[in-house]
Amino acid sequence: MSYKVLIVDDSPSMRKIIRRVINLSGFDATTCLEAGDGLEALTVLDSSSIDLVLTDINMPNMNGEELVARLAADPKRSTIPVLVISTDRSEERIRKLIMLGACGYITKPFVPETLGAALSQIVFGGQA
Amino acid sequence: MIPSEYESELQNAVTEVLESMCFVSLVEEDAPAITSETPWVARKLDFRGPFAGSFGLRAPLEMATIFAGNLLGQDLEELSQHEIGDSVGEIANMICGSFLCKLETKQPFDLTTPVVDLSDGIATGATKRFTKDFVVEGGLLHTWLQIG
Repeated sequence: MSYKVLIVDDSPSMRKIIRRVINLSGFDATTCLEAGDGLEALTVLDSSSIDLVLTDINMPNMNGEELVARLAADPKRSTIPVLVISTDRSEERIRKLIMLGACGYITKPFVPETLGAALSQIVFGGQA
Repeated sequence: MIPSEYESELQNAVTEVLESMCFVSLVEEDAPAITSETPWVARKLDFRGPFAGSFGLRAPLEMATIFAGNLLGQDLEELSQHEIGDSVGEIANMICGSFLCKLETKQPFDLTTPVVDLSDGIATGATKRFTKDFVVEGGLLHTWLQIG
């Protein structure tokens, strides 16, 4: 099975990097859609069926924390897994995002194996 | 000069980001000659949290292009100026985030979006700016840090 992934980051370069790393990781993502912030992500989610969201935290208009909280509070979207990708590796931030509803958290910089393992963990529950 | 208590953590952060994302390493060589005509790509960002400040880095255009090509997996000839600048901004973002989290593991920092740094290495306001240069395969990476 292949998956439709939404990459949310305000940096076009970082979105390209994540897309590339997903391909290198071997994770089967047929389609990668992109959004520059949380608001754009909600618009994409309105018009497309997404299997998995990968989001940064610090973004204009709507940051990653609010996006995670909005998705978790929306019955139609609360089942979409959200993986946070951020430079912030503080215990407080990670705890907060997981409490808000993120199902995983990886820190930049990252290697393809790390992202691939996190995606497989989310999709297969560790039975990759 | 960066204070010694920060220097090793900054070097660790620079090494981690450049090796894992750009596939280049720091080298123990004399700094290459930089002329006044050398074009630079410079980005900076602010951070807030347990303490606040700014971080920036500058790289010669030629080296910045190699960083961007490796980071994005693109041929160097295909890269736009915007992609090179945006990539250097992302490198600054990752180095700063990694560095801050080595100093403070519990409380989070908020980092602003990297912007073009027009300061030309000169500190703004009364805050002292610390600097540290790293010799990388192919060039010199200049970093600076202002706290407070």
